[in-house]
Amino acid sequence: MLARSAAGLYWMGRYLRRVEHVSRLMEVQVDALVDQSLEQIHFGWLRLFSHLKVTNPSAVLESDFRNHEDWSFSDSFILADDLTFNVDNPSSIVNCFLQGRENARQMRHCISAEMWLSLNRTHFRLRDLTIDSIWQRDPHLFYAEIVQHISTFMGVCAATLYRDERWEFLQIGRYIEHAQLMAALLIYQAQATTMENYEELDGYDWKSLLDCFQADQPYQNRYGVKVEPNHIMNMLVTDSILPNSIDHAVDQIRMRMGELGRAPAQKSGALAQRFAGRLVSLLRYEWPDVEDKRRLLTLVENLAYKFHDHLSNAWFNYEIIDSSRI
Amino acid sequence: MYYDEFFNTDGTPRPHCQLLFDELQNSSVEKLEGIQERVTRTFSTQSISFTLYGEDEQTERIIPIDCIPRILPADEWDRLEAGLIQRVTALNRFVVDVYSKAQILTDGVIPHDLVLGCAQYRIEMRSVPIPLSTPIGICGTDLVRVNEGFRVLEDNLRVPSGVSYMIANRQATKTNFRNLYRQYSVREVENYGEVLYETLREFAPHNQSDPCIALLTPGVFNSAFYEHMFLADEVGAELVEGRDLIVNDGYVYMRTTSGLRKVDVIYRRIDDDFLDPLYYREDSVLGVPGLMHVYRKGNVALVNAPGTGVADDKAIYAYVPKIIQYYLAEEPILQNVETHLCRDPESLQYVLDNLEYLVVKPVGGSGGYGLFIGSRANSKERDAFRVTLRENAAQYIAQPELQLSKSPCWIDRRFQSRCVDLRPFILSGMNCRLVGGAFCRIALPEGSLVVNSSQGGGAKDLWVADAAC
Repeated sequence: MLARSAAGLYWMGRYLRRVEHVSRLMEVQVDALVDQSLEQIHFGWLRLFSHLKVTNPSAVLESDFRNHEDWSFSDSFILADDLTFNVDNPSSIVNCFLQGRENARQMRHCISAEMWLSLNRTHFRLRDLTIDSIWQRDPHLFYAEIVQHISTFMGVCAATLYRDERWEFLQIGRYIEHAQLMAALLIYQAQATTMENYEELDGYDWKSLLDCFQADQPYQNRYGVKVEPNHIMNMLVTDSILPNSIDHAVDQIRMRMGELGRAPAQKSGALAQRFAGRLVSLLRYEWPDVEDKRRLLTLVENLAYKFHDHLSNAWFNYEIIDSSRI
Repeated sequence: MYYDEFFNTDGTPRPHCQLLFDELQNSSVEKLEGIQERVTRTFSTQSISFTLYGEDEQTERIIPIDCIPRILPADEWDRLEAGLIQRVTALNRFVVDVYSKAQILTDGVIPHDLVLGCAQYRIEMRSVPIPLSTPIGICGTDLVRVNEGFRVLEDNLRVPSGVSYMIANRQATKTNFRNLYRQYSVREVENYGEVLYETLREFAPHNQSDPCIALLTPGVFNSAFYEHMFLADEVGAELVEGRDLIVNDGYVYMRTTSGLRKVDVIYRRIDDDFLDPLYYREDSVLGVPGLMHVYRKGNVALVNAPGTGVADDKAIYAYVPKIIQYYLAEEPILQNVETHLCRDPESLQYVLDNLEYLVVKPVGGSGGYGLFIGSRANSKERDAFRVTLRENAAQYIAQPELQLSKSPCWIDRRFQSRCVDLRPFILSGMNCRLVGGAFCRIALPEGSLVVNSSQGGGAKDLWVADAAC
């Protein structure tokens, strides 16, 4: 297939995965506004903005979640608006969705008609909304709805997209984005546990991650109701049958890479394959013995960046030195 | 007085419209509103769009569609089809001739300077062998009906668009009038992709039976991007931009996930000026450096060929009846609209004296841009335009303001007549072919004569009915 089309599908997968990720976290965050402490809410926003690597829209968030004296509930409105509707925020839901849809629009002949219609339904839904309109009703339901829309879209993809390179690149984009975002999120979370007075958060921050990524039930079945950060971290990172774990994502990447043909730029292709394998081995074989989980997660995040670069160089933007020999 | 497509002058429906009339008469306002809502929603959910230039934010504009089909009896269509094939055959021979021996100029049928001075004349195409001797593979000819019959308004020989909307109109409309559609025995338009594929395949260099076909688009911001995507899908071609293609070893390749792949036929949807920065505009980032070199060597086919714009120049248009007589020794089946070439001093004087009754068009224009409609301007504007005309007379032609025929449309919960035209698409490879229908455009604002999609025009389905009466 055309290299630019493959890149478009890959980026569509990435952007839509980011929409889902941010929506999941926002769903839990606005839920916390109902009954959680100011410290907890403040921490939730910090975690969101920090791991997405975007600056918050005003001075309402201090870098230390303990400095929240000037902080109030109404600030959540500004922050939610920024992460949901601000098209200048590279990680906002609307911006990522529009980028994902734009990729789909350019690749419309490569995707199924059902996929386009499904995506367009979400587009029309989002187009008419503002932060005021969702805030006046139930913001929690709005974010849940977006998650559902994206899940439906992925279901439509699974049901209608031909299983050739289109599928593989879409899935690789989706899973590398997930691995990268989860690693960044857990790095921040692991770092927070070393903060002074962290205990005041009372474990809700960890529990909210279980809710976010559909891990609460499996966690309870295995470990009971007590919140144990180490267990939660292990589950979100290494549980291979948890659909939102990092292990599941990198394993999918490794499998999808195996389905791709030889890359036009063979050296970069081999490196991308190698990094995909390395990601799996890091989590499967090194994770259990490593004390400093944060360091290893940082390694995962860096490997994900490198993987992306090599994938792009190998299949999308490969250099043409002497085409007569290709 | 305009020609009514639906009613006779005595107010009774025309025979071929009787079935539709009965159906509409038996339909409540709610039912018709429901149908209109459904066809509009179909366009909206699929984002069947066209971009209007000059708008700051809106990049995608959904084409307004009217749910009431326009019916054309098959015998009328057959005559149009014969006329269009005749016209395009002659135009193909004209383009081949002007870039080779230029016999038509030597014989004095058309003035030399009209052709050689035409902005769309491409000197680089002189003596270049053209695959199948058919430079115009795809033509969209605009037809209007006046009281005296159909008239050709213009030929679009460069990158005509609208065919995707013709198919989308059909898909959206026919399911809402199932019984009627069957009763009328409507001719098919949805096979356009197959016909286009066959046509493009015939252009493949070196008689390849399974050529690699690519559709070259300027990109997502082009007004007709939806159509480019749609046609690439229909034909099974790759939708490429200039940056996806490279030239090497005298061939064109596209960058794929399996490496470079040779391209044999390019259905190009970008203007000549942007095709190849080495030949045309050197600032073009839309084209492919070296593409023309490969074309001249015969290793890639470009459809349409560069330089075909010389035959759809509005000044050349006036000579098309003579072109048909010259090459085919036949009388034109389809008539032109009376046209005054302002380059001719006598004609210019006539145009200056009668500006309020005329429509003045730039010779190289398209898409409805740059029109001056005398009756819509006040005397001050007409005077100002007279100055422009005198200064650039050769750049304009003038035609009488036509009373376009009208067809009923469902607007604001009632039937309203609107001006309509017709754009059939004629495909020429080894043979000339048409599908059984055309893109029917409507001028949506009341009293408007401008049907162009780029000027906010709408669309409706055209049914060529084998069982019309």
